[in-house]
Amino acid sequence: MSEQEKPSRRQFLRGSVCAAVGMTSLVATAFDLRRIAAAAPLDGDFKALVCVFLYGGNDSNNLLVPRGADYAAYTAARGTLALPQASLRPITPLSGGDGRLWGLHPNLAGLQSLFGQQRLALVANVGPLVAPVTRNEYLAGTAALPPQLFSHSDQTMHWQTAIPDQPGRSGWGGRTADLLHTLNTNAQVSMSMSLAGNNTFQIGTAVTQYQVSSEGSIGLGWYYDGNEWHHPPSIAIRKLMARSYGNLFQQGYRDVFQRALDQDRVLAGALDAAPPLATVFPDTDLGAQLRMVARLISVREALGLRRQVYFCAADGYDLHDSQVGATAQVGAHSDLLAELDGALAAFHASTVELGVANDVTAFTASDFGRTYTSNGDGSDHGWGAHHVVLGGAVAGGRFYGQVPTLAVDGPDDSGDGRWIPTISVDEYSATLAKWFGVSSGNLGLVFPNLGRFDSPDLGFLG
Amino acid sequence: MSVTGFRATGWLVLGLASIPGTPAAQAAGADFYTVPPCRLVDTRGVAGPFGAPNLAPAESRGFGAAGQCGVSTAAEAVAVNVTVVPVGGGHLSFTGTGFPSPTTSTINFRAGLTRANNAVLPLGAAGGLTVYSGSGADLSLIIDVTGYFADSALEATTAARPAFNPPPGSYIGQRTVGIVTSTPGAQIRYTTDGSTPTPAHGTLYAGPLTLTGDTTLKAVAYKSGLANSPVSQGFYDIVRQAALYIATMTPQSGTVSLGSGRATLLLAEDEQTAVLRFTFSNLSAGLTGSHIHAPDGTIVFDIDDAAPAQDGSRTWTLAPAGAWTVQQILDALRAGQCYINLHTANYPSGEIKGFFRLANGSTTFTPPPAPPPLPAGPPSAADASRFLMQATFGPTPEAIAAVQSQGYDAWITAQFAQPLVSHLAYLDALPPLPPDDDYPFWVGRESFWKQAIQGPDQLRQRVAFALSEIFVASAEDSDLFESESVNAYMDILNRNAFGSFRQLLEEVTLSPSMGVYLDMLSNDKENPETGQNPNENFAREILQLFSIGLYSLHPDGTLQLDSWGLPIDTYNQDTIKGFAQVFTGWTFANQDHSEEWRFYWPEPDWRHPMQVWPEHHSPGSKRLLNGVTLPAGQAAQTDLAAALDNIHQHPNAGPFFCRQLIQRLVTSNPSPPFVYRCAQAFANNGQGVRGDLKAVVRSILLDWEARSTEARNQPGYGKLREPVLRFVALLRALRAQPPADGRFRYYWQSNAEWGLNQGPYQAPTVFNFFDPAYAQPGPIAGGGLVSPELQIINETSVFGSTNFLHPVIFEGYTDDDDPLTLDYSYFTSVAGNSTALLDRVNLIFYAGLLSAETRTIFAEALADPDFPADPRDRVSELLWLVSLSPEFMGQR
Repeated sequence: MSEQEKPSRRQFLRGSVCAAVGMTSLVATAFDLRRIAAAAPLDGDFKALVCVFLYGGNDSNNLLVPRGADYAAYTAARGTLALPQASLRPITPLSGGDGRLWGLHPNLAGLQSLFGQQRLALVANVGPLVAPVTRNEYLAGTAALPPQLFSHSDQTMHWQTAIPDQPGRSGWGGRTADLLHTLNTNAQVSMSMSLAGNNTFQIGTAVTQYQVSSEGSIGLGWYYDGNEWHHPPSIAIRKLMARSYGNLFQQGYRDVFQRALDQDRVLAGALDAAPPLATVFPDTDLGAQLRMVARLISVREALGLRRQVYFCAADGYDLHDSQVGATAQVGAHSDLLAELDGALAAFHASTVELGVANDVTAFTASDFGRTYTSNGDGSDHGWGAHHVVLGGAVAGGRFYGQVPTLAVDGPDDSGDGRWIPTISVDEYSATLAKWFGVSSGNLGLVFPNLGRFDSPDLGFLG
Repeated sequence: MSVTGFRATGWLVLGLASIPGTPAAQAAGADFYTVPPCRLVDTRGVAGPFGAPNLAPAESRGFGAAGQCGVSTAAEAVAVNVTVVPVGGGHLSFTGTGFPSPTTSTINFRAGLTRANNAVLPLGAAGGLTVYSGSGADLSLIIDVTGYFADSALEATTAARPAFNPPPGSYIGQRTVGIVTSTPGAQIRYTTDGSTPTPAHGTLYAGPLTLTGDTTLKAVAYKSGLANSPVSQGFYDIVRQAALYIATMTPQSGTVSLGSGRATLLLAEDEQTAVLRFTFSNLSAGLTGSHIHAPDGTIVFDIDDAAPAQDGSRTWTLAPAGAWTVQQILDALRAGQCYINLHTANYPSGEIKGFFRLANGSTTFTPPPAPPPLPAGPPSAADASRFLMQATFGPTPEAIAAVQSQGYDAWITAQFAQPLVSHLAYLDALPPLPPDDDYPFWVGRESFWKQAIQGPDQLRQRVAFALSEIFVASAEDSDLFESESVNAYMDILNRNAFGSFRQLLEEVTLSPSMGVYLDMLSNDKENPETGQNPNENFAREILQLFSIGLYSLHPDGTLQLDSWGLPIDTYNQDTIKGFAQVFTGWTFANQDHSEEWRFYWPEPDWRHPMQVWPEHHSPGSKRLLNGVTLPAGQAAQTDLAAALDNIHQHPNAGPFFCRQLIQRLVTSNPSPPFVYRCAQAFANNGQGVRGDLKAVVRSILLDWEARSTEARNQPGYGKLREPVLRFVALLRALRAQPPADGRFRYYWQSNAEWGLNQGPYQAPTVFNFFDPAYAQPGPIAGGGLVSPELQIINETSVFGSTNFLHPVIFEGYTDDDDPLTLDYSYFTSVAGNSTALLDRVNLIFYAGLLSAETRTIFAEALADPDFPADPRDRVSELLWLVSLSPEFMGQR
């Protein structure tokens, strides 16, 4: 629907927008946060942020569903995707529910319980925005919009960088880590750990993300570290990785390998020495990721880490088809939500077991929501979506933000039920970062566009 | 009309006084004075009021003629020779500044033909001349003055009226205006408030004044003993607005550089500051300096003096530099004569530079110069090995010898002619199993490994593998879990690797495997009652990933920018909807159409292109690229052919495809000229055919940038060897043979912890294993480079893949209990001679580029008494070290 943007709106933003000079050859955005004085040190405390990224675009219109008087409109609009009302798990928010009746997807038993215990908050209609935009502005083509709405790779990047109007080469998790890593005075490994491979969220300048598998750090086989015995191939490997190379690709590979050798040594030792967890995690991919996160949190002292940022992910949410099965309660989406629910519930329980429930906050994110309308047995790419935040410090049992008017061609619709977000990724992420320790004064460094929006702190983290 | 006399050499002139409607009514008569011939205006020269830039189409411009070249400021007309060097045809009309624009012409010209004409031109307000261009293209204007007309009687009694330079008129940006009078010893007073200046009122003129806003300028000249001059006056309409200038940086002459860059300069409305942003890639060494220069090389902005803002931009505060005033710098900038220059240690006087031009619609493109010639003669063994690293799955001694004897070009031609082998036929040829027993779905992968490791058509295998990473259909997270579905798709890429791009697009589009992967299969037309719309998945990805990408490209793959300096979208949501509607009504072939529900639940037929059910094809009009709209009511096949033509003809197709293919075969950061040369081959194979993939492949592999020894020495040249290529190169070097049943049993490579973190046709998403724009943070991203394959190299996979390769090298390990048979003899035959052994290792795995330092590390290991002595173990251990060595992983 986007038409040629009128110059006036763009001109307004020109002053604060970086002209995208080129997307193919880019200088890393120069957030030289090493020049910024570190946030005031906080004594003795620990905090961890856990991002659970749902790749493909989660259909959050079936995560949170209206019941009662509004249910008929839901079922009429969603057609084959509509969940039966009786299957919904009722939740009653203490605030933000608009006086209406709500339910969660049938497979979210754990989240329903945590919502009731006020450990889980729902943040409504979050999405990437360059500036607040209304439906009229969107349709008139006068709005400045994040580039390439509805494209997976671009929207994933906007979610993970929180700066949609710049060629993003760092993530807000990475910038946050850059700012706070000095709190980890004796870090043995990176404070940014990913259980799901390389991601943009954790790209920073000073802190490099460290990939860990759900089984822990994997070692290099047929390699003998240290002076256990004289092993010429191992000696050769150490020499190969100790030298530097003129070719940047050779050097780039060497950097990863050397880092792997160093961090593996530390991590393997710490995990081996740690007592096992009592909490049982489901035997799913996301469950395994979050179990390893819990174990890594349990050895944080050995790793010398007081602040940690974790990245986990689940794949497969891009359900253009097979989203639902014979009924809407079965099918790929239901399976994915079951996996999400089991993993998050177990994870929270493990933080309680470790005594760090108030120090660990997990939150979901996704490329986008999906169309309110169905395309047969699935939905297409959307925009704004609901997300959940989980942890002891969360002011849970509430909705934050505004559930959009769930009507195609309604006031919040950009077309086919792609909701125009009312909360920006900036505001959502800044609330998390602030709790994590980024001072109000430094929030603008991590979220340069934050000033364009109303709520730098949405309040879901007391 | 009266004729008056003259005072100078024998020219008969016409008095201008009584011609109705003429401007010069103030004089009763005028005398002619000659001046030494003088060039007043040359728009080809130095920027300024009398110089560059050239006249733009339909532009009007004023020149302050009076007071210049010896022309008295009291002059009423000048005699000139006007010369035009035009691009297009047309005419010029001159008159005095401020007079009505003339309906007559002063000089007429044809396109490309330089013309000259004499003219007598009246001077207007404050002694100005204005020219109006009646041409549709740029032209250069030269005005030479030969004389002028002035009233000598008036000159004797009255101070000569002041002349303004530049003359009154409309200007974009501030103007520095000089006021001059020809009366020696006279003074000038001026006002800008509209009041009339007199010897007693107004500002005494002491030097040029800079006008920064609309100004009514009035001036009078006076001297005791003379009457005050007439008041000269004029209105300056100064339009100040921010202006964006864009520079495309290319290597400077005398450099051997793959570097390139782009800069934008946003001049603020008040013209006091400008914001600079620039990016660059592929410099031969680290950046040592960067400046903006005036036309004569004077540095007007030392970029390192300005601290970068958070977004990387630098603010230039305009200030005089050397002999350049701010006004002169602005004039030069506006005339496109200022440039940005990046310096490196290798090229202290500058490696790349580009001139700033006013952004006006999309930036223009200049084709690059041709590269230097490559040395003639047959390739050396090392060169042949390096070529094979780009053109095959890995060099072998036999293949090296073949390339050396045939030469690159003939070898390529011979490869084009190699027979096609079918992956589906492989499945069909598997021994039949007893009833109730089935081959597992992954068995088809054996066929890929067989062809990659042993196939004689190595170039086809390599190109098809590259195509599989662009036109991604994957068994991961998808419904393509039957071997037949994947192997049929592999055949499509094999079959079209050396065919036509248009045909490739069509076969991929109608592939049922792709149809299942991206939801085009059984995609139904829109249903207005339910509000259901056609699935957009394939429409989006065929544009974004398979053919043209998101942004308009120049023929060299660089981004076109609009006048805001932003990339230009190639399509919008309407286009996606239009293509989604085109891609409706198709499903598995050979269905029983009498059963209506078969469209939604068809019987799989993976082996044939999809077929259409017309009643499920969207009937409406469909919006495509470049403003094309398909009319309503066309048959599905007609819509499809038109839509694929529409994509194929898009100017982006060549550069977008070329860049990615170069990234898969040769280097992650091709220079724009490299992409350009390939895109030219795509556009026209030499016989007028577009999209000939043979021409594209040949162009890439024979290109200077792929073959030259200078290019490969740049620190940012080359690419990280992706895991599948790393793996197969080892197996080819060891002449891997399958067990007796001929089956290469590798199925589970896509895992990071105990595999390669990459498996053929098992990309995690349609975005392949890695993003073409991924840049590893650190020196690579900082150098403006991309390193796609490094995206899947992380602390997990770097160990996982190396662990996987150990038993492969030592024992021929496969995923089943039937290992490969490896032939180490090329290496073990010299296992006792470390020098010879390392020479062979250097040739096969490093293309002769093994550094002395790494060679020493290997030699020390080999010399160590605890290093395995048994030849096969010795070679295996060494090759395992090779396989993890940075110089093998980073291929150049």
